[in-house]
Amino acid sequence: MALVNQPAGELLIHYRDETGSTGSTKFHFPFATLASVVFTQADLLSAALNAVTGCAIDGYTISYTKSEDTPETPDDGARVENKGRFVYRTANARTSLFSIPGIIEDVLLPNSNTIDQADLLIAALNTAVVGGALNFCSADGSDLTAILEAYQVMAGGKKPSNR
Amino acid sequence: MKYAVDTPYAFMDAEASAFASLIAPLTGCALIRQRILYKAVADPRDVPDMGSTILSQGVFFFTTGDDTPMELIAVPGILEEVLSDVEPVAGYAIDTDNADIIAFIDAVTSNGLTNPFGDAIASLDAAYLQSRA
Repeated sequence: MALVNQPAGELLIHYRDETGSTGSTKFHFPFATLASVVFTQADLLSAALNAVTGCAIDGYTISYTKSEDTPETPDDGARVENKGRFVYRTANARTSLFSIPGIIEDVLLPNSNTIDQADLLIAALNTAVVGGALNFCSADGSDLTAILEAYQVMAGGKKPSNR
Repeated sequence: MKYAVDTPYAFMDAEASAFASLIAPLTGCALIRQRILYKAVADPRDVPDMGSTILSQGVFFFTTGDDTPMELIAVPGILEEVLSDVEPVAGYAIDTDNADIIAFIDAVTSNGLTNPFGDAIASLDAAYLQSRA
């Protein structure tokens, strides 16, 4: 049981036409290619594409995907829509959040959708996130400094994928 | 989860493993995939040409060797100026003698790009207009 990388990473270049519709061009590169190298390639390819398309090029996304070769069996009744939402304060006085799909009932306070921050597993997670073991930041690059709130929420999932 | 944009892949990959081990006991779901994304956004954004449509796209088929799958690269909003005007393919074949098309093909074939299976792109095999309307 392990996460194994795809043979190739993906570079998606994003377009927008006159009507506002969007599209993309997909390129592949060897998985071991450094992101800094792919950034250079993406700039070069974007410039070349800009000369042959009437659409505007809005940017690009570089992705490296690993898939579990032997996924575990989910718990009975586990639903990705049942999320634990963790909201953090940031160093620039804003907030940032992440969600954990399929949050277990054991970490909720009784008769509540509030996540018990005194729970040992939750405390370990928070310590890692704000204590420096993990170097997450907000969308604007600011550090996560303290947990603000954590709660259970039912939020949209996706249709199963065959990929 | 988000990181500063210049964070190396190996660093995020290692932290993803640590994060996964922390959340595994908190979820009843099974981990199936990890994806690390880098994003770049044009600033300022360009204005598309009048009449441009993503439905009109150029498709380019590149070889990767005799026994390996081709790579298909689609370019939305392909310009009419790069289509061939030589019969019998006028209007739908892409003019591979066009300087901008030559530059694009060179950018694809000389930058270590591959097909989804990691086979290196060798050369252009065919290119034509494909309307998705």
